Amino acid sequence: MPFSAILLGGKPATGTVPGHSIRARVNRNVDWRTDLCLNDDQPVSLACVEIFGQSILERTVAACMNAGMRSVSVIAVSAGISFHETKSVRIAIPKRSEDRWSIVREMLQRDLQQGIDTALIAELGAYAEIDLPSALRFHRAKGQPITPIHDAQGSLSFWIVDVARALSAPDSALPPEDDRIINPPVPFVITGYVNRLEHPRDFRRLVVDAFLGRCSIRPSGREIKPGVWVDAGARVHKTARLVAPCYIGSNTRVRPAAVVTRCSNLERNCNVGEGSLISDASLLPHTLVGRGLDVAAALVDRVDFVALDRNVTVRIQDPTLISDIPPRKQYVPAYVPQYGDAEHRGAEPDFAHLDYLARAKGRLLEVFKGEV
Amino acid sequence: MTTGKPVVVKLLPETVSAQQSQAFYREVEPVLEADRPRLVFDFSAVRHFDSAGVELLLRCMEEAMKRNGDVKLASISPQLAVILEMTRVDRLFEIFENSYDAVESFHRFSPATMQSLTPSWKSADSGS
Repeated sequence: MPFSAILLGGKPATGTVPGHSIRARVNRNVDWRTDLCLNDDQPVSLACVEIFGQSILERTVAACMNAGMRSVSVIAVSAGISFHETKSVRIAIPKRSEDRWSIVREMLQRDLQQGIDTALIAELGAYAEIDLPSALRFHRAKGQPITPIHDAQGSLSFWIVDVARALSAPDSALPPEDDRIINPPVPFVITGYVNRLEHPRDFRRLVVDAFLGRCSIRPSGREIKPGVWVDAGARVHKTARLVAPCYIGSNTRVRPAAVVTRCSNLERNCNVGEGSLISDASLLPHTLVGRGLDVAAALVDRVDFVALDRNVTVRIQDPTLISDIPPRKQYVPAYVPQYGDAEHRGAEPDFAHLDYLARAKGRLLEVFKGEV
Repeated sequence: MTTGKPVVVKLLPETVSAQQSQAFYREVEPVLEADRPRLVFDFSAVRHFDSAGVELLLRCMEEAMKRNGDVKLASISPQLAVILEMTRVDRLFEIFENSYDAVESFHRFSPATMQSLTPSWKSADSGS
């Protein structure tokens, strides 16, 4: 049976460069449920933030296409959401986010005209690994107009709908929230991996889970040594230390004596300054970290620093600490170090790890004076 | 990903202070000077460890990196882990529960065997 998908891809994104991903910025209003936003009044879903070069939205589109869906539509509120492949994806941009459900209705009508009888509607949201064929079989076996998809904690804002019956219902049937329906349908409960992405910590957890193989997301790029992935165009100085597992995104630069460790992911076009340490942290695209800094247990988006252990967000406008890097116009392939590559051998040792640790070692001498 | 170079496992002495560090470094120096050295330091016998030991680790790591190799650590006791964390050296190394896992890690990525991968912010999690 013909099947389609309609994905609601987060909230408005304004003023972003086409072909360039959403600029996520942390909401300082301390409502952790709104998390990231494009500016102070426009929240954006963490599902639109890149992980290993691809957002959850993009991954969901790919999963729908791989599942053989005849059409995939994305409702975004601006052109800020980019896709690597746009030919087979319809993108609609409502003027106001409140209009998105009327656009869903229009898309369902178009689907119906094209002979599509079943559609997946998803408001991303959560990252959920759903067995779509099983969900579809469940929906058909139940014979209900709408089948919500749940995990053990409840609704994931994914629904499988019978297109004709959904359109014949009154407007209030969309969005098909359970509490809006008099006789709630039987949900399809998934047992696979789910991350609700409600908090920046959830995003970090997803990154860690991906590194540790707990979900199906895998780092892209080349695995230059076990557990270290480097994407195209990245430049890593020979004295920088990449401790597995970690990911260096495309066109990202890691400068001398920098250390990237503990499941850190540096997304594309980032720049880590000399001697800086990135530990258990995510740098979102176009983030610059200055020299000699410690970035640990954090999510950094250009000028916004989310300290996950302290549960606070700091906007830092000092370019010697963190700042943003304008999008590059050209993709410039550059040297990528390879394990065992002769060029990787340093001619002149200019390591700074000893300098970096000198203070701590001095303290250690004072404290221990020998035995431990 | 798999790689096939041999890995050398060195058991550190019970005491790793200035004198022992120098002796140990002389012992591992030939290995570090080889092409793409791959070393595992087994800490299972270590009872005393100080800043000279920290310096030893860093020196060995840097020498290995110069030749495009690596040093990994195994069998770290909780007491030793405190020192490595205090000096922030722990962030520079892959640390494994035992030498076997550390050796295997040179051939394939196996996160289940790695220590210290629990996020530091996990305890502060409010349950989301």
